Amino acid sequence: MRFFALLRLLSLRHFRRHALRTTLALGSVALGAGAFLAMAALNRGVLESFEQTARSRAGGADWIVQAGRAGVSPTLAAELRAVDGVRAATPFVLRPIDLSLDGSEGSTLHLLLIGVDLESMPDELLPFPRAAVKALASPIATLLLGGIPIALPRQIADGWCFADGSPVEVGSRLQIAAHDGWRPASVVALVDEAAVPTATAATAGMASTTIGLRLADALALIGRNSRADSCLVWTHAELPRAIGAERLRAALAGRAELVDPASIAGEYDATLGSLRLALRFVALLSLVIAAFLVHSTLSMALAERRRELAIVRCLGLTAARLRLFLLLEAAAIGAIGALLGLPLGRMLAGVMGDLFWQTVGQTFDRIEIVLRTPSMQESLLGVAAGIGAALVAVVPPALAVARQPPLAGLVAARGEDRLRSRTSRPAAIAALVAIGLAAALFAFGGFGLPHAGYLVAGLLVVSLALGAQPLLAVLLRSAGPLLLRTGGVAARLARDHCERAAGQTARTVVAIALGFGLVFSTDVMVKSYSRMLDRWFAANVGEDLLVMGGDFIGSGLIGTDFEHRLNGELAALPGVLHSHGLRFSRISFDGERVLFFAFDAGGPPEAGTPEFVDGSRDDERALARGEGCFVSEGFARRFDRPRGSTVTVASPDGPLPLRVLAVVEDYMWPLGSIWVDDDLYRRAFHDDAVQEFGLTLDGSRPFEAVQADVRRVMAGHPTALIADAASVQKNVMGIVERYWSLLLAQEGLAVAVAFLGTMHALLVSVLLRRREIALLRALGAPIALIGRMLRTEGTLLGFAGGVLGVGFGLAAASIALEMISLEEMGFAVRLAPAWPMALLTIAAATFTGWLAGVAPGRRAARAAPRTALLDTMA
Amino acid sequence: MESTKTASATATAVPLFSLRGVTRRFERGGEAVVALDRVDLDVARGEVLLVMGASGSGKSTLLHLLGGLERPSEGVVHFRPDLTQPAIDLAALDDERLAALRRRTLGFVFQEFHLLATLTAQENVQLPLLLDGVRERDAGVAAARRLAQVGLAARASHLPDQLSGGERQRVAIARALVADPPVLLCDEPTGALDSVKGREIFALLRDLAHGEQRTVVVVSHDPAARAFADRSLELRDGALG
Repeated sequence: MRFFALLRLLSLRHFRRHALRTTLALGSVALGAGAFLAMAALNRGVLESFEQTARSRAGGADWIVQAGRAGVSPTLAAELRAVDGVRAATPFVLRPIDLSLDGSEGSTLHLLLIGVDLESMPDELLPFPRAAVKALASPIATLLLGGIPIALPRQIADGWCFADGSPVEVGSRLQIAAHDGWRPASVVALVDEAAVPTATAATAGMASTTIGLRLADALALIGRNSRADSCLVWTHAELPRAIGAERLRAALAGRAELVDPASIAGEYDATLGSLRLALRFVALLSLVIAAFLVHSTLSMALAERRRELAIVRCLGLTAARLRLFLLLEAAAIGAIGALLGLPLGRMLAGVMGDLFWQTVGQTFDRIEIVLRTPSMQESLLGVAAGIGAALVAVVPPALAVARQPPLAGLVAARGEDRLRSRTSRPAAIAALVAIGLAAALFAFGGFGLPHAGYLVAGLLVVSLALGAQPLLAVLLRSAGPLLLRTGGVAARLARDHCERAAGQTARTVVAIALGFGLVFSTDVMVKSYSRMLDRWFAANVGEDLLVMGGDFIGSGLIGTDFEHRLNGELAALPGVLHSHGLRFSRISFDGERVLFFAFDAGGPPEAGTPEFVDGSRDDERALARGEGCFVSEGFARRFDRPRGSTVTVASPDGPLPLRVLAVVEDYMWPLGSIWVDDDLYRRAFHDDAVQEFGLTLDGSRPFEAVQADVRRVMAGHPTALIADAASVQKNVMGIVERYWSLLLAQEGLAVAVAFLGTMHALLVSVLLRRREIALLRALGAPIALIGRMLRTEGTLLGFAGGVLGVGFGLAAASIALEMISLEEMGFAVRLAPAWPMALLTIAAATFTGWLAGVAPGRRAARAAPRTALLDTMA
Repeated sequence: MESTKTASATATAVPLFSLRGVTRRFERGGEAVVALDRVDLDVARGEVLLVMGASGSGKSTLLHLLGGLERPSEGVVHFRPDLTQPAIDLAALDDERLAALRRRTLGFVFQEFHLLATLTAQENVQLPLLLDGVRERDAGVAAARRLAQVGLAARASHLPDQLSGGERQRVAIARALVADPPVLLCDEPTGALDSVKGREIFALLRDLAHGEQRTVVVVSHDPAARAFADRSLELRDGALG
C-alpha cells in the first residue's frame, strides 16, 4: 500500500506534469494495441467468413466427393449410399446463376443455384422445407406453370416486382440464365429462411440468396452432360470419422476425391495467398514497431528521470525496489494504453473489415461476409500484449538505471559519457553479426532451415535496431562541416545534439525507418509482383481475344461453363489463327487444393509459350501428345515433384498417373498448378465443358470485326464476356493493386505511430536540453534559432530515418519476395524497386521529421532563459 | 586551525566513523585521478565537523564515502552508530543494507538541493519515510513538524520552483532530518546561496546538531563555516593537511 503511495507520488506526478508526452506514450501503446486487435479481429472475421461459406457450400454434409471441374456422376451417390455407415448421399449442384424478370440486364439478380436429388434425401437434411420440395417435384405444377420449377427465397420475392407493379409470387414466370441462353422458369414455392431444416442450418445463411431446383433441371441449366458438381455425403453420428473416410475412399476407388468441408475454407484462403502472406508479414513488423516505440518512449522517459531516480536512490530506495517500481510503472502505461486501444481497435476492425471486403468482395462475390469486432479473449490478449510490450521494452533500461550507483544519475555528464562508450561498440559488432548472418542465410537459401525467411526478417530488424546508432555516429561526424555550411549554427547545434544523445537519436531514427521502410517495401513488392505478372502475361497469354464467364476472374477462376464444341465455330471465324478452350479445375493433391489446368498445348507459338524453369519446347510437344503434364514451379517445390517425377490425380475412370514433363513459371494459383493438354483432359475426365476460350488473331482482319463475329457466335450465352487480352490483364492487375491497398492502410498506422514517436523524442530532447537551450538564450540566441534548431533536428532524424528506411524496405521486400514467397508459395519474385518512390519516401520521412519538430521547437523557444536555468536547481 | 590525521583527543573514545588508509581513484577521460589519498580520520559522536578544501580537493568524495554512496579503492570505512554492536565496514554492505542505512541512519544535504520538482515541499520531506514503509499519514505529520522546525510551515504546499534558494535548502535539510538520523552529511550546503542565507543555514545545522545530539559532517569551501564547526579539517589534493 505504501509502495503505491510512492507510485502515486513519483509516477503519477511525473505523468501529470508531462501530460503531452504521457499522452504521446499512451497513444503509441494504444495505436499498437489497436492495430493488433484490429488485425486479430479482421483475420478471425475473414477465416470465419470462409468457414461459414464453406459450411454453406457443403450443405452441412460430413463429406464432399469431387472430381475437379469435371464433376461426378449422379450414379456415384447411389454407390455411396450403399456404403456401411452412410446416412445419405446426393448429387449436388451449386453455382452462381442469373435470375431475371424479363431477361434484361436491369432486372437481373445474381444468385446461387442449389440442385439436389430430392427423392434420395431425408427431410431433415434437405436444404429447403419439405413443402417446397413437394412443389418442386410435383409434375402438376410443372405442367400448369411451364418452364423450370424453382423455389425462391421469400426475401427476394418481397423486394422484387415486375415492370407493371405486379409482385413476384408463386406462379410468376421469370427468366433463368442457362449455359446456352435464357430459359423460362416458374416460381413454385417461396422459402422462408426460418423454415430451413435445422440439420442443414449451415445453409441458412445462404437461404436468402439461393434458389432451389430439381437436380435434373439444375444439370440441364449448367449444361454438364448429366454430371453434378459434387456429391454430398452424411454419415451416421456413431461412425468414427477416420473409418468413414476409409470406407468412402475404398468405394470411390480413385474415381473422385473425398474432401473434408473444412478444407474448402482453406481453398478460399489460398486464393488470397500473397495478400494474406503480406498482411501477416506487415502485421508482424507493425507489432515490432509498436513494441520498439514503447521501448523508445519508456527508455527516453527514464533517461530524462535519471536525476530524479538518483535522488530517490540516495534517499534510500534499493535497486531491487527501483526495478519493481519501474516495471509497475511500465505495466501501468501498457495497461492504460492498451485499454485506450480497445475502442480504437474496435473502430479500426470495422474500418479495416469494410475496406477488406470492399476490396476482396469484388473478387469473392459469393462469400458470406462476417464482420468481427475484437472478442473478449482478443481484448484481454491485446491488453496483455500492451502490458507485455511495455514490460519487455522497459526491462533493459530499467535494469541499467537500477544497476547504476545512486550518484551516477546526479553527475549527468559523467553518466552520459559512460553510456555512450558502453553502447556503441558492442551494438555495432552485434549489428554486423546479425546482418552477416542474415546475408548468409539469404545467399544460401536459409541453409534448409524451416521458415528461414522469417528468421532473416527478424535478424534484419535486430541489425537495424542495433546498427542504427553506430551508423548514425559515422554519418553525423562526416556531415558536420556540410551542415554548418548549409544550415548555419542551428544545423550544427542540432547535429551536435544528435551525436551527443546518440542512443535516443538512434531509437527515433529506427522508428521512422521501420514505419517508412514498411511503406516503401510494400511499394517494391507491389511493383515487383506487377512486373512479374506483366512478364508472365506477355510470355504465356498470346491470345488477342478472350471469351469467359463474366465472373470468371472475380470468382477465383471458377466462372461458368461453355460447351467445348463452340470452339470449332470460333476457330472457323475469318481472321482467327487459333482458338482453344481452357478448363480450370481445383483438385485436392496431398491435402491441398491445387489448380488443374487444361489447354491446347499444340497451339502455334503466337498463342503463347510457357516460361520453362526446367524443360524445353520439346516437352511442350510431348505435352500436346498427352504424354504427361507440366507443373508450376510452386507445385514442384511444395510437393517435391520435379521434372521426371509422377503426379497421380483422381479421375472418373480411376487414378490417373501423369509424368511431369517440365516445370514452368505459373502464377495463376498460389498453391500450385498442373497443366495438361485439353485432348487428354476430355478423354480422361469425360468433360466437354470449358470456362474460357482464347483466340489468337492472324491480323488479316480488324480486331473489332473479329470481336463482332465472336459476339455473334456467343449471342446465346448471356454470361459470356468478350474482352481483349490487355483489358483482362488490366482487370487482374487492378485486383492485385486493390489487395495491396489494404496493406498501405495498415502501414498508415505504422507511420502514424512513427510520427508520434518522433515528436515524443523531440519533446524529451527539449526537456533534457532545457539548460543548454536556456544558456543559448542567455547568450543571446534569438528565439527563431531555437525553433530552427529543433526543426533541423527533426529534419535530420527524418532524413536519416528515410534513408535507412529505404534500405530496410528494400531488404525486407527482398526477403519477402525471394525467401518467404519461396517458402510459402514455392516461387520467388524478382525484385523490381522503383527509385522515384525511394526518393519520395526519403522526402516524406524528412518532412515528417520537420513537422514533428515544429511543436517542440515552439515549446523550447517559449521557455524564458532564467526559468529554464532555475529549473535545473530544484 | 586545528588539523589532524587521527581522531581528536577530545572526541568520545569510540568514534562514529573511522577511516583507515582510504584511497579513492577515478578514471576520467582515460586518465586515473586520485580523489583521496591514504586518508585516516575519526569522526566523534555529536560533533560538527567541517571539511574544507578547494574545488577538486576530494571533499565531496570523502562525504560520499561516509554516506556509503561510493566505495573506497583501498582502505576501510568503519561506521559504528550503535555502541552495543560492532563497527560496520561500509564497503562490505550490499545495496539493500546500504539503502536501509541511508533511510534511517544518514541524512544527506546536497549543494544543488536535489528536490523532486514534481513534489511539494511537504511531499519532498516525507519521501524518505515513505521509502522506509512509514504510513503516509504518519510521514505527513513528521514532515510538517520538520518543516516547522526549519521555519517553512507556511510553504509546505509549494513546489520547489516556487521557493527561493535558501528555502529550498531548508526543505532539503528538513528532508535529511525527517527520519531522525543520528548523522547528517552536508555537501556544500551553502554553495548555491548568498552569504547571509549561508550563515542562517550553518546556524541551523549547528542548532540541530547540538540540540538533538546529532553528528554533522559538512564539506564546504566557505571560510564562514568555521565559526559554526566544533572542528575543521582541510583537504589538499586528496590528503588531509
